[in-house]
Amino acid sequence: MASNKECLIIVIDVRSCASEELKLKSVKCVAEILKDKIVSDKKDYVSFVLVGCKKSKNKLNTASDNMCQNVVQFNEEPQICNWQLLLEFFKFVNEPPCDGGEWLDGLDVAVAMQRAAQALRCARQRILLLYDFNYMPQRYDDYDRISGDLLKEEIDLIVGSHNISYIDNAKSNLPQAIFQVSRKANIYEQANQKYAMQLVSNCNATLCSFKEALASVFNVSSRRPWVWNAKLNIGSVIAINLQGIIAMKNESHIKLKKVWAETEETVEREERYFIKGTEVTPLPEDLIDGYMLGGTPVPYDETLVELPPAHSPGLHFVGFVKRSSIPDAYFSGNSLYMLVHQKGNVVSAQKLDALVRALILQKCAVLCWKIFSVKFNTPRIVVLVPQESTVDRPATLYMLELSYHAQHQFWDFPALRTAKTECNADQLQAVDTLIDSMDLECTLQDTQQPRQQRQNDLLPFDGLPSIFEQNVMDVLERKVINSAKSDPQFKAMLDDKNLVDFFWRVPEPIEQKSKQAAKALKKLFPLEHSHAWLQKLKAKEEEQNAPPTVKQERRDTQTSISIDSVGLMTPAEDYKQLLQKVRSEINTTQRDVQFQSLAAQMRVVIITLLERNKLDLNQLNEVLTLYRDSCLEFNSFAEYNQFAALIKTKASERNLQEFWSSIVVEKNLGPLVLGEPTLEDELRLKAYYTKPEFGVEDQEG
Amino acid sequence: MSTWNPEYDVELTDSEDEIAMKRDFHGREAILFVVDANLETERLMDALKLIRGAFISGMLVNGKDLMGLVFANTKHSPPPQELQCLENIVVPANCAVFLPLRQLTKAIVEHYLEFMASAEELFASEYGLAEPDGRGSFAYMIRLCIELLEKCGKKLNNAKIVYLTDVEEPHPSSSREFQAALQKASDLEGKEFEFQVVPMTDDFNYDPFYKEFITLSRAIEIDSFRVPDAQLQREILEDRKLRQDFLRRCLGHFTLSLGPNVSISAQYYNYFYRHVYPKKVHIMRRDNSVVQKRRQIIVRQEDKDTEQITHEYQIKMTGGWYECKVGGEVLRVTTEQLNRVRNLHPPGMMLLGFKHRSALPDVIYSKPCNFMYPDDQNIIGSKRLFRALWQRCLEREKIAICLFLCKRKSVPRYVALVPVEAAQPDDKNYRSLLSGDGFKIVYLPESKHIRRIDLSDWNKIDNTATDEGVDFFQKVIRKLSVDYQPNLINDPNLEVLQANLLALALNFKTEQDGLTQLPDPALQNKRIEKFLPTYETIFEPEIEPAKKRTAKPSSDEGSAPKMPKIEESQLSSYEFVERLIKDKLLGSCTANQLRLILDQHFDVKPAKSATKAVLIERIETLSA
Repeated sequence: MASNKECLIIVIDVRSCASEELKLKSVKCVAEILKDKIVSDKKDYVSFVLVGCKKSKNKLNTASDNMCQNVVQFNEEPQICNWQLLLEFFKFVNEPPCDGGEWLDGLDVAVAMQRAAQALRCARQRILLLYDFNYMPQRYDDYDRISGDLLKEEIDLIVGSHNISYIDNAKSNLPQAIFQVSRKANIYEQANQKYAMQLVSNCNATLCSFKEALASVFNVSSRRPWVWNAKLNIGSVIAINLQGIIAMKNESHIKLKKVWAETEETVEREERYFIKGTEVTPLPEDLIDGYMLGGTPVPYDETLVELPPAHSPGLHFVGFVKRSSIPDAYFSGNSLYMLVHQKGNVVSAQKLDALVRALILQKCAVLCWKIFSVKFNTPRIVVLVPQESTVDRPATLYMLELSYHAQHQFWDFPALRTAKTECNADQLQAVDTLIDSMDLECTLQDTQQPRQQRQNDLLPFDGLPSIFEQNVMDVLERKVINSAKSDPQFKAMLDDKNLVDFFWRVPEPIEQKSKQAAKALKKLFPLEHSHAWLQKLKAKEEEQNAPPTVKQERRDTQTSISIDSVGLMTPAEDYKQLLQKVRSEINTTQRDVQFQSLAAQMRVVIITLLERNKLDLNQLNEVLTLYRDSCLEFNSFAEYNQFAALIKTKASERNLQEFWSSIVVEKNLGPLVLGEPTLEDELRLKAYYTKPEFGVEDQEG
Repeated sequence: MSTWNPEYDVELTDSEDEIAMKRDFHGREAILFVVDANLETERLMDALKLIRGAFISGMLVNGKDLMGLVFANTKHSPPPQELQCLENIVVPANCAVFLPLRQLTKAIVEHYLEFMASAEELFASEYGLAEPDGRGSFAYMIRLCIELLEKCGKKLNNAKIVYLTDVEEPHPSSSREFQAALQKASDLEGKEFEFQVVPMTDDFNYDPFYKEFITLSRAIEIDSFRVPDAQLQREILEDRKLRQDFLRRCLGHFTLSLGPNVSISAQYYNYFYRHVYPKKVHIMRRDNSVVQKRRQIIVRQEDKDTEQITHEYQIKMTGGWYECKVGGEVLRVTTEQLNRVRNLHPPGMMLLGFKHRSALPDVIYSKPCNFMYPDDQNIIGSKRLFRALWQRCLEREKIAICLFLCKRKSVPRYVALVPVEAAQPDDKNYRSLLSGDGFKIVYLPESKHIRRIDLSDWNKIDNTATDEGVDFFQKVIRKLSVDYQPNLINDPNLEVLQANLLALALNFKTEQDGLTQLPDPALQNKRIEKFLPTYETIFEPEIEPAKKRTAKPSSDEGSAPKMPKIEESQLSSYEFVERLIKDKLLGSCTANQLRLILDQHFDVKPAKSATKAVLIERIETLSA
């Protein structure tokens, strides 16, 4: 694997005469660079050089005393970024400053450091110079030598300053950095700026504003990216050797070390097996793989079905389709591949060039099956979109995965153009004003004026920040600086609004205009917050969360329950009502207590009814059944069985033969049995239902 | 996941996508099919076939869904197979419940297939047609459906009633029943049950009844009703897909801020959901019970002297913490703290500005698009302003650039809102189903997501093809052009799996032709036969550049299986094996050969998962 490490030396202007704005921004800029490298766990080497210190401490100065004065270099050698380095840098940058110090000396020291760093075998060597090219006189004797060295040794130079703006070059139409012209500039300032500008042509340096300097530092191109080798076959004769390179990928760059346990503890990942929530420890041979088909598990492995052979890797051509017929909305996956010809394969390069040009002429794209490898063998349907060659790249195809039909959703959206949403001319005008006043692309007349940002666009699509990552970095930085360990400290840090609100705002140049346009819009479009849906949702949730039976019965309690005990007039009805009330009690303990007291009442009532001279058999049947059922419901088996025994004694005592045979025996109102009756249970029941010894006199008769 | 190493795990998952794509919104989906007995035999069988398709694909794709089947306008009401399920449900006259809402199982589908086999003959006698005019009460039918859905015993998230019929007007418009039926529409609206009519004829007129009924049941204006294409409707139903009501299944609601104190409410949707395979499970061999496998992270503390485990506990994936080293000191950041960093800004979308449509590159991709539609419930008046914005963007070819935080704890992203329009009513293509009027949300890649690749090593002057080459490929393109039909493209591996599952479970044969397969290059050759000779004259034969690393087998073939060091035939002699064991040379056998030894000489069939080391140990202990 090719090394993608870089060695970056940052030269910073700390002279007392340099603008404070520049110094603050420089430190911030360096901190951003370091944070990014730390958080994404990059193995790049970094070091710093200060220009404008009272003392002189650098390699060249050590060698010869009058060389590179007022320049201080950070340690001997560049080092890998970590939080400690960031903290040290914050200290280092506070070296006592003076007015002297020349930027060419700083560069000279940096080049010397890069030479020494060649042993680190970095793929790229870069110097970032952040300097105020102000009114102080500077010597330019070594200018040609140093710029020549940079060019010769292939060290990239980025020069950042605070008073840079951009115009479009009249010839090439490309953005060009210039110094903001100041009327007060003396001849030294003019000379300094002239030499700085010339670096661009002399050694391909990048001159830029601070914001762009950061972008330039992060903008590292890779010459040897990872590639996926594949062959595109059209039929079996036409074949093009291709290499797939990831062009865009939605991924997080934050790499933090995740720790699961204290150092003295061991961490293991284990697989546990459960059947319906109960843990089991099956032997591997007890288990068979399978799939769920609805609610039915279906065993499935190679012993049961013949699995189809693996597909051969590469791109299998399906057909040419019109580009316009492929909806972007069906693009899936989290990356975008770019296919180029196999490096060094001229024949494939020509074929690909011909194919791409033909596709563009025919407004077509290619539909293919992509088989990644023998191991990752699942075919994915992809579309290859042509991209014509440019000066700096050959013809390529973008490869995008498409979603399958089985995944697609079909929505039914009512039309937007209805009578109710019709707008009048004023309203449409207000919308137009909003669109115009929030235009992110500068209009033609703006391009003549020097502007703050490089591109003619306030929010260029290739420079969008990663907000979450930036927030994480900022939070970690503060945590490290404050060594905030406690949670409240952390919370206080997050409460700092600047952290996020920085991104959540309209770009400054159009902020005022957009506010006005929005205000006008608000006047014409009545908007009213409504909480009806929320209330409806809440009501629905409540309804769903409460157990349904409870709710129903609570209504009953409120409306009709006026009794508090079971009476003798209508015992069945009373009992039913009171039972409902008991059921509505949510606290189970309470409920059981209430039931027990109600059951006791009922038992008294039943015994009283049994003691009457003239028995109402229907009523007795009703109350006994009710009571028995309720005991079943509330798990009150023992109580009932005890009571059943009492009934039998009572019946025998009072010689209630008819009651016994037609109610208790016939209706099976004997003791309760939990679950399936065992033999013992059955014997017990049989004994119970055996006719008791009745007295001689038939009282019922 | 196999590379997971608890010692050094640097991955910080961006779990937001997982949340967004999750289909479970607490509750199950339910589809209740209602078949009109008025359908003549042929159409009735078509309807039953549709339902069979829906049952089967439902089982394969989303096994947890509930499905049910009711017949309407019947003369008789034969009870369903599962009698007790109707205990607290009143089945009105002229309705018959065939299947209450159930998660489908093999038995249910088999029962349905049995019914289907005899339906042609027996439907008329067993169910019959309501007398005198085949018009049972529509309102009662809807009431029954509502009752079935409400009392299904499961929490529902998305419930639909799908009515298969060819009668345009269930009751005369002047009748009392007509009014009663319309009233039921508002019941459906209140209960958030969706109603769809799937016409079994192609030229179905919605005007007499269904247009009003459906718009009422969804609480939308009658002039925003778009007449669906009946044939397409049936086709997608067979895949157990339906045009989904926009109100029910959005991914989330949010407000779009257009400026200080100017916000409209909107909701967003996905165009497709995650690619799902049937759920893989482990099954006990002896009784077919489903075994769940759970991965657990266990932390143990060991006493150094006694080597006894003194403390053992389980941690969740979200447990643990992140570490930053500052010099010798270690700072801890808990996962919860990092989550708070996600939560720094309230969810919502903020307008940052506009650009011309052409500013958006042709290919820019970092994550699948979403669709955005106004929501007039939260902020009344949103729909009108949304429409104005949409209409002007459409007419002036503008796109809106916004910052979007879709829900709490997700990652803010820059998005481009591209205005899109619903297909014209006469468009019968599958693509017409893609979306309606609204904005397509295109996620813009962050600067860090765009890889900067220096292609100078690829860029040579002689890469440019001749004009003949371009002409040649133009001819090939014309010959091999196809129409992109998304409905015909399915995952071949998934289709094979599904066909096998159906064959195993239901003895269901799927025809080979019905499966998606990789294309046959021979057929393609044939179509471009006459150009092929010129191909060889225009382009020289391929000379692949010399491979730098010869040690590795060519990457086109993937990694080749290991070459065995010992010949298989030798292994059948036990003496040879014995010598291997004695000389500790078993390691030079492949795992498969070790299995062979165990099988042939020791009569042992080791588990599939057994590693080589385990196999060797087993042989050694057995031979000892």
